[in-house]
Amino acid sequence: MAITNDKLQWLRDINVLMTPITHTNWNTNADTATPYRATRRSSGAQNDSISFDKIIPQGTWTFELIHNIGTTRGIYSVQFDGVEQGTIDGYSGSAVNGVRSQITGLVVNSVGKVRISLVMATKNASSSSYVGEISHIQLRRTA
Amino acid sequence: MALTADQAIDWTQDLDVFEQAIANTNWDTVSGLSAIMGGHKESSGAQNASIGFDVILAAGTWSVELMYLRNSDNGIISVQLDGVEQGTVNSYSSSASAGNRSTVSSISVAQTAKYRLSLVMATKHASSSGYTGEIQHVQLRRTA
Repeated sequence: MAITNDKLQWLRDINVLMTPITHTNWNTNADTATPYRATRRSSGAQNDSISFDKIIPQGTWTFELIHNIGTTRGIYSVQFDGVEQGTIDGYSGSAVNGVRSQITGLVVNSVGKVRISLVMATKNASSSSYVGEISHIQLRRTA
Repeated sequence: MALTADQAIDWTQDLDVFEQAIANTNWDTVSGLSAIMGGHKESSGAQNASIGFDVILAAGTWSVELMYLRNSDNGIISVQLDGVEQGTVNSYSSSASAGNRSTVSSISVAQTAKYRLSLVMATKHASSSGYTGEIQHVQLRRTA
């Protein structure tokens, strides 16, 4: 029986605490007060990036990020093969760990390997830095 | 339309080691003491304790990364695919620590197929008092 697009997994988890396929200035940070008891955190430099290679079947997807928000956090540019799919603002006036944020309605036109990147390209006007701090990524196909 | 292995088989594969392994010998204790991931799976300390996971790998070049504990009674982890050693990770240290990561890289997979990824505590550092293995997570990454 041939494997077709609709027979591929609709739920895809990425453990971000392992070594990414490529990164600039993101390192693991032990923190028992967060889910998974650790985060992967960027240096705060603008355009710090981290990438993971995943097969993504054709369809419509939700991207979900578990991250720590706070006063020094930047805005995550979520990119597939270098093309921005949406953004998640990590800034908050008060620190909260383990926040889940989604980008929905991501349309993938053909199945294949995608380099998923988070790039700290911009920041909220109130934020003091471009720090990214993440615990987990999940992709869910919805259609 | 039928897919090729390059379209269908993931390039990043995470293994949650806290669940029941497909096969194990003296390696089935889950402990909650580790910092990162909130726990680890531990072997008994017997020589050649092993744990196996069945994975589909596409033909290509792969890395296997372990997150693990170091300790004074820990052994050397032999990373094997279908019984063939691909590299080793020495988990001995005179002082205990969690969240260590080591990668066995440049593993050449000739054919797309199911492989049994096994971790075998076959040997130990001369200074270690045992062969214990303590792992927190396993990730396979295709690099080419």
